[in-house]
Amino acid sequence: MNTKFVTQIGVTALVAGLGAPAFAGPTYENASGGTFRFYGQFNLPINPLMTG
Amino acid sequence: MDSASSNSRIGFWLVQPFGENTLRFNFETALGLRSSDGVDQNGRPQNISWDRTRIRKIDLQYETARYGTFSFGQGAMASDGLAEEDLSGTGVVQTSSVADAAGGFRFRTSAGVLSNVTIGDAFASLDGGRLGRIRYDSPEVSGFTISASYGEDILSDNSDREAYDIAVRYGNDDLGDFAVRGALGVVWNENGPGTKTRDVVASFAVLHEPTGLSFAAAAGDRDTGGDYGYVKLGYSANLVPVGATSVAVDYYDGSDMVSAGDSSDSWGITAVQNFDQQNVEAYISYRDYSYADTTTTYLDGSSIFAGARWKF
Repeated sequence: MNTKFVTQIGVTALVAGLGAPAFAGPTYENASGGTFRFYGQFNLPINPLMTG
Repeated sequence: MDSASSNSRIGFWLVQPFGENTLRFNFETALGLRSSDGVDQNGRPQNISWDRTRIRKIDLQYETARYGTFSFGQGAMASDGLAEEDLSGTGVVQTSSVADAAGGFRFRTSAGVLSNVTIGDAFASLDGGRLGRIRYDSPEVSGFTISASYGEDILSDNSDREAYDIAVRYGNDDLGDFAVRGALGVVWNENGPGTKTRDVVASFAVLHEPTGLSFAAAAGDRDTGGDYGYVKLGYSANLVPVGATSVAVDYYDGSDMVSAGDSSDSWGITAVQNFDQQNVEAYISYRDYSYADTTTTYLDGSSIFAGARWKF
């Protein structure tokens, strides 16, 4: 177990994310039932720290 | 840094009904942030590096009411996700793709020297991916769907990769107290002359809804060498008012992934806390990796992977 790979949590980003309000991507609809929806995600384990 | 298991992305859907049929267009791109499986002992890639290979989907789909769905363009092959059926609530960070957290790292030999064997090489899931493809998905019949696709790598320079596959999936969220998912498929890949492979991949997941206990399993076999089995036990409950809490343990056992006669073993433990109002999943995961081949002794490795995914 001498080789250890560690990825450190991005505490600042996590706390900031939890403080953010919920936000759903906007959806627009036309007269014939067509829709446009914007979406996305951020997945942020940050500040990698490696040893070994 | 970004998570290789579910990277940061943006996209949009255009959906237009035409009578009983529906035309859809989906564009989706990764943001190009440094991926967790791109980091190794020798350094890190750039913080942000976007090129066209980061495009995930430029996908035109025509869904018919009677004959299924026809898809054209860059997008998921029929085999994408075959190895990752999961009802544990921890799929954001823990799947049969156990190399996602630290796939770029190389094992050290017992002498302390970095080898050329990476975690990504030794712990493949043989899951499908995305290509420029044509794809067909049948209508669902009693929970079963059949899919097939043919694709080529249209985003990379000088790539000869092409693949075709066929898959069958089953899903039932109302099987008494249980929810069940299953997938089975075959993938033929070729990346230039003499590189043909055939992968058989399957996964299964079941959730006992009253208790929150879940079980998942996956397996894969490559005809030219390389096979693995994977099992996972999970528990999910509403322990705090902000959202569900899920924990899971898993185990991966692979053979012949890098060279004939080698073995790859990994176990992991994960906790995920949902924050429903914010659409956030916070996670922390520990994983241990062991590798052995017929000529060299290697040291075990381990990773701690923690972060959060926010969806909008």
